[in-house]
Amino acid sequence: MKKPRYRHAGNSALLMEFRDEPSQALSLYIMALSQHMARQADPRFLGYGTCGTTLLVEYDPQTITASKVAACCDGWMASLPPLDSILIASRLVDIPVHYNDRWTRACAEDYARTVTEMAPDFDFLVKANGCADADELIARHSSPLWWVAGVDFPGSPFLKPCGAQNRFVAPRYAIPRMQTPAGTVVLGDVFTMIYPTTTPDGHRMLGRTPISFYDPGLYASPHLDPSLITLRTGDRVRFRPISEDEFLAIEASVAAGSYHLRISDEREITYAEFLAGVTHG
Amino acid sequence: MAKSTILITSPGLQTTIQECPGRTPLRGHGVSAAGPLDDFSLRVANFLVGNALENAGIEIQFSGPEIVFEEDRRIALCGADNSPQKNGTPLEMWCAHDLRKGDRLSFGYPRTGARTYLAISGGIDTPPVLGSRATDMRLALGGFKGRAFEAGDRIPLGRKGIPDQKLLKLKNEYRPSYTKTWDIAVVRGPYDDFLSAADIELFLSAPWSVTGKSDRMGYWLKGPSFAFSQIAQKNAEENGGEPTSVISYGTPVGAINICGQTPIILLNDSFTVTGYACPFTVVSEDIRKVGQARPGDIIMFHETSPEAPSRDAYFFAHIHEFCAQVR
Repeated sequence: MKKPRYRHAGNSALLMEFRDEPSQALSLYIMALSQHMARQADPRFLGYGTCGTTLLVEYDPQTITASKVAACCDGWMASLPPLDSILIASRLVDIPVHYNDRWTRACAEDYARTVTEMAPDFDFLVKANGCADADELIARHSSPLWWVAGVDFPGSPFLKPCGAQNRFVAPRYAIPRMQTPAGTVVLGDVFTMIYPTTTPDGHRMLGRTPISFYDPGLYASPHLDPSLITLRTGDRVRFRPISEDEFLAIEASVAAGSYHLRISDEREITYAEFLAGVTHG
Repeated sequence: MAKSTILITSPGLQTTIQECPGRTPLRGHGVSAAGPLDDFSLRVANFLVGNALENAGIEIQFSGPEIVFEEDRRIALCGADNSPQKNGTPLEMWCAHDLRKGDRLSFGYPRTGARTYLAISGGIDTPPVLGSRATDMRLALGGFKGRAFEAGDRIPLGRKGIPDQKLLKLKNEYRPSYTKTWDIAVVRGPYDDFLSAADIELFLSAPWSVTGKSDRMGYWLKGPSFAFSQIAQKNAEENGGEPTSVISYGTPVGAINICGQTPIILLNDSFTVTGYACPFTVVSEDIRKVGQARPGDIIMFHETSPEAPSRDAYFFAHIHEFCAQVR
């Protein structure tokens, strides 16, 4: 692992920027490192935010300086145990998606009318990815297996496709949308994300899923209970294209509490297997 | 035993329960911090009523609520002067007052500043969610039913009537003055290399106007355009899009996103991760100034060292020296 660059992020946070190429291996390394740092339970450190190539370290500037923070982080990198011993629980999860749905189309049309003229996201993606038609884009997105690389609160998954050849052209908006419907599936170049709640966002919308990403009890608990979140890092996802009618039926079923997510092939995989899965499919 | 409550007879524009430090420890899991935009004012108000500085209080934005007290309590109001009144009689800001059962608290509209903080002896006693009583309106978490107050709400209070200490006020010379032009301290980074040297000069000298799009998630600013650095231009070529569009990374509260040509100061309710380069970050003790700025106000940035000493550390350690008894 190359020595990371430390960038100041204000007077109470430091951003560790890893210089290695973005990869699933790097993402997992950063996650393992942040868990290792958190286990040290140093009260001067207030929190850790991990992403694909960076680790944000938040600290109390009244008790520690930025240079001392960097020194501690260097020390913790050196004391990190070997990653080969990590086992990841993984389930295969079926996620029904209504691609090119009318709600995200309406959202895109509203944006074009009120903010800046642009083609609706789905049409833009078909064209930008050299697809003959909508069906081809849908096939390209739903054929590969996707891995849950991370989960953002509350239950928003960050997914990477199996096989490095599965890339898309999906540049962000310059000015983010103020609204995105709950359940929207958005696309980045090498990732898919799904938003459980309505949200501002700048990514291109692909479709919508009616499933729920967290148990409502999550919000009532005094402390964060991860078992109330639907998807976990390490899960594998299969996107299944559905019609609007199927979407509405599942949505009603979810609201009634009678919908059961199709989950199968639950097993433990090694760190190396997870990496191989993401890289090769 | 039923909790004491206050009755909200009129809700005000956006009145919410907030508490320091919000959900800061959970930001790494993607939970927004929430909490008061002006933490200084809430802490001082808590001190004046005999509460712990981190007790939950009420954040009032522009138009305030009307509140009927259902038992004797000590209160203090700090932040923007929005002409608070007890039963129609003006109340001094930055000063503790004892209210009796039946008293009605109401507000006018601030001439400067955007947010006023109400602390009540005993604190607000709604159930903590994910470690805090702060309200996250986007996720409908915490606070009172995860939302701003509505008419008819009865807000539960902690146990404690009038505290056993003399009535205090913050001496005039220590009360922050609010203005229409704000001088905000920023630290260079994390992605200052996305701006050219001329851009940086511009950023630190131009008057930035606060637009109406501003709220607890972020303040959208209007001002001159950036040319961007070579690094940013190369970035645009590589990702087929915007100069400041980058691989997502975690940001603290106060990071200044550049989206297109728009600087957005990320605040307490913002997402914890961004996909835009942030060339500068507001220092934690100046977030309160951003939180007091209003649409139409001007913000000027000046650069400071990331290791500049805290003012709060000394202030709160000696706060009793900066207060006087109310005669």
